Amino acid sequence: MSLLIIQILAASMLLATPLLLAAIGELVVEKSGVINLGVEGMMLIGGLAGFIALYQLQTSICTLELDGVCFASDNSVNQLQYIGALLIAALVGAATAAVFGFLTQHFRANHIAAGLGLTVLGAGLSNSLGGNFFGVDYTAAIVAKVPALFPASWTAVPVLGPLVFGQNLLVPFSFVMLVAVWFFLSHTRAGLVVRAVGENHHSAYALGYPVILVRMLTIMFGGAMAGLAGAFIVIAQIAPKWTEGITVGKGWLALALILFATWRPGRVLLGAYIFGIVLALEPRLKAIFSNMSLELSYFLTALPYIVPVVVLVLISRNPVMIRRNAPASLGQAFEPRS
Amino acid sequence: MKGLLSLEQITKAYPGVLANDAVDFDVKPGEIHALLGENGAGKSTLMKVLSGQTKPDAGRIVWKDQETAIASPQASKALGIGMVHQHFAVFDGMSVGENVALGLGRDFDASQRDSIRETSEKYGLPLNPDALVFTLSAGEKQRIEIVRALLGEPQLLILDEPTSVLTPREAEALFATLRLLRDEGRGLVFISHKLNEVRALCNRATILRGGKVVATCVPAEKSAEEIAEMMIGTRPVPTRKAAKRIGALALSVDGLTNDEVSIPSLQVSAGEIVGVAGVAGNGQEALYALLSGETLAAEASSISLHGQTIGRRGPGERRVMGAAFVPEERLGHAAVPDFSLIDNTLLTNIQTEGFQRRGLLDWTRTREHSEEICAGYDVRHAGVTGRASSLSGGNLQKFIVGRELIKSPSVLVVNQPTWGVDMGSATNIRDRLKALAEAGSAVLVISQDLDELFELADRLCVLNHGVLSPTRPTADWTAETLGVAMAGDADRSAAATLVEERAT
Repeated sequence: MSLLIIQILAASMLLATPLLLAAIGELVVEKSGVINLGVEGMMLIGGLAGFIALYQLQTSICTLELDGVCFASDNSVNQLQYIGALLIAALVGAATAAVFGFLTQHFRANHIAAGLGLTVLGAGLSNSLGGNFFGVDYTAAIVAKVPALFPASWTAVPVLGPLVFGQNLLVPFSFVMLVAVWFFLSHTRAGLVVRAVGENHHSAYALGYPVILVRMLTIMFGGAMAGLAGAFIVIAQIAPKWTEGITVGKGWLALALILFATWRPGRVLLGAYIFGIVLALEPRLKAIFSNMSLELSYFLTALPYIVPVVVLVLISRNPVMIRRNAPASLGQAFEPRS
Repeated sequence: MKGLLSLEQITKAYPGVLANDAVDFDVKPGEIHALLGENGAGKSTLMKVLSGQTKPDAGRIVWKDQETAIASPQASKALGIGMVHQHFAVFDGMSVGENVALGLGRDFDASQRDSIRETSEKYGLPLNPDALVFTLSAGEKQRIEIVRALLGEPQLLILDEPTSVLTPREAEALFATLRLLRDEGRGLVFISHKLNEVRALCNRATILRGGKVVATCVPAEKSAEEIAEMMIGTRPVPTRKAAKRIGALALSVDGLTNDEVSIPSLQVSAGEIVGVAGVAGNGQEALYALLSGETLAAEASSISLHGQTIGRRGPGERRVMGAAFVPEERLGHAAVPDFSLIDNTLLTNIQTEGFQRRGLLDWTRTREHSEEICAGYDVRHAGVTGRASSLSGGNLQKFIVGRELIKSPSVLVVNQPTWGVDMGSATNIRDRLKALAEAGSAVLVISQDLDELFELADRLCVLNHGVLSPTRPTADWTAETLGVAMAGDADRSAAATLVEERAT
């Protein structure tokens, strides 16, 4: 029984991590008063970029070569190559977000329209670039699996093995970022400025804070985190594999989590892990109750998307805390009053 | 060093209005220089030039004998210019301490908490650093601005109507602070509508009218009437109180109590004005909310309108029954800042005859109606399709009051009718309220301004710590008894200050 719990927890980490990464990034963006609905698009573009980077960076030894053409190869990836691919994913995510930032901050485009545009752009661009654009069809490209952080003997250790030693680098990273963002927002001057810009941009401007610069920086941070989230889904969640639209709405779920968590990092974590655990439970429950009705089985499939929202709504009803944490200028274009 | 700051021939035009027309203005170290003028005279524009929020079209800015340009708010702060904004630059979702830290560009930590407490106590501006701003009154929000500016140690401090929400005692404490700052050799710019304050406090006064400097004088050498005449061009004549005909009971409150206020009894009859005096934060907001229906009473019978119990009815139903309400906050409560004047008119006057035809809005009619309000109540504006937030405070208040009065309500409840409004507009609004009562309506005025209450009200009561006193004819109250009632027994010194205020 306890083995089942550990299995579910380990699986839930794989499922929750991309959600957590994307949501942490977007949380900072929203705290600065910007709503970027393009999380899904940035995840796709960043994820593809990470995949392409890892494909190029991996060590490839040809095992069957005929007339200078390699027909079979032995691929391998080490942690350094993986980190390199993640950096590329983050950079490309940030660059994609910068397009959104430029449109909304310098041309004062509507946040909602620009964000939706970014989602559409991300889906279309990743489809065509991942197809055969660079002369390689990445949907058929083979990339080696990323090794675990610790030696295989460590992963055999009970409990800690599957939960800690066997996990991907981005899992502990997501926790570090969560704590870092919480600390940044609530305990540093720069974080205070970000919140001030999101709370009342006119007041922040009147006090001399560079509203547009702050927002550009948070938008790019959000893009980098979305890029990492995408790369995790493409490279690490199962095995490295690029498929069109591979993120299947995780970006939207991340956006919803922030809202229902009323912009509190701890609750974003809770929401992401409730999602992960319920989703990890689903196939196991279906296996145990193999004779369940079709309706119940569909309901079980929908459950991971329902439970976190219901729980977060129920625990976050305090209007004072909502007023304290919700950025009042969210989604408003900033134009200095003349 | 001759001067601290000198503005020469500053000109700034906005579409449709020349806000500053070749304005000369200077401040010496160690003086308090008053900037006077009605709303819309160009004071705010001139201060925005100083605070780096806008660039003048023409003119020179000389700071400590050196010509300079103030390109941004940061540049203004870096020069040593501190600003206490009229529309508070505060962050509602944050704590007082965080607000102060943001103003100073420092971290909010334990030492910050101490320095806020120290400064606020030293200058008589009590503030709890951990309080959340959205729970504070307007007066307390202003204290944040002032404390924040003082902690920044500015060489030039601009105060844009700093006393408009302060109690007389708080204002006196502030003046002591300002005199101290002046004696330390700093320059101060003091913008106010209260001429007696300016006469008592300021070394010099520059008077703006229509974007131009019309006079510079030593305010102590002039009477308030003379200064007022320079500001608005004509001498304001207070209208005489006509003999009242008191009619039937219109609004009646009996045993109304909730967490914030307790009103044992209050009656307002047709044709009379009843005033509710009190220092801000004593339950005025809660009283207004109960009367307007924004907060429902526990018992339907505790509020009656024309003999019908309305305690459980919402604002819409009360309006349909002939009541009208004007809340304290102009932007965000009485008017939607980003809505046009037409849209804002519709918000309370949608039931007006002819606005809806077969369920659809008649925009021509609503536009005409909005224009009637602006014309009839002297609202100076750039067009009724303009946003409410583009109007100056006085003009917006005239619009909001006009919007209700044009319906000739049988009962009007108004909270702080002339808060932060220039003298011309305030006189105008008070005259309208008097005219409404003379025409047979019941009017309840909640105000902190004692002069206003003595001018308007036939009967007065006092709200202190959420409890409403019995009503007595205005003639039976003296400034002293009123002051004591307002301050409560625990706080005699406040009462004493009020008495002095009235005596001078």
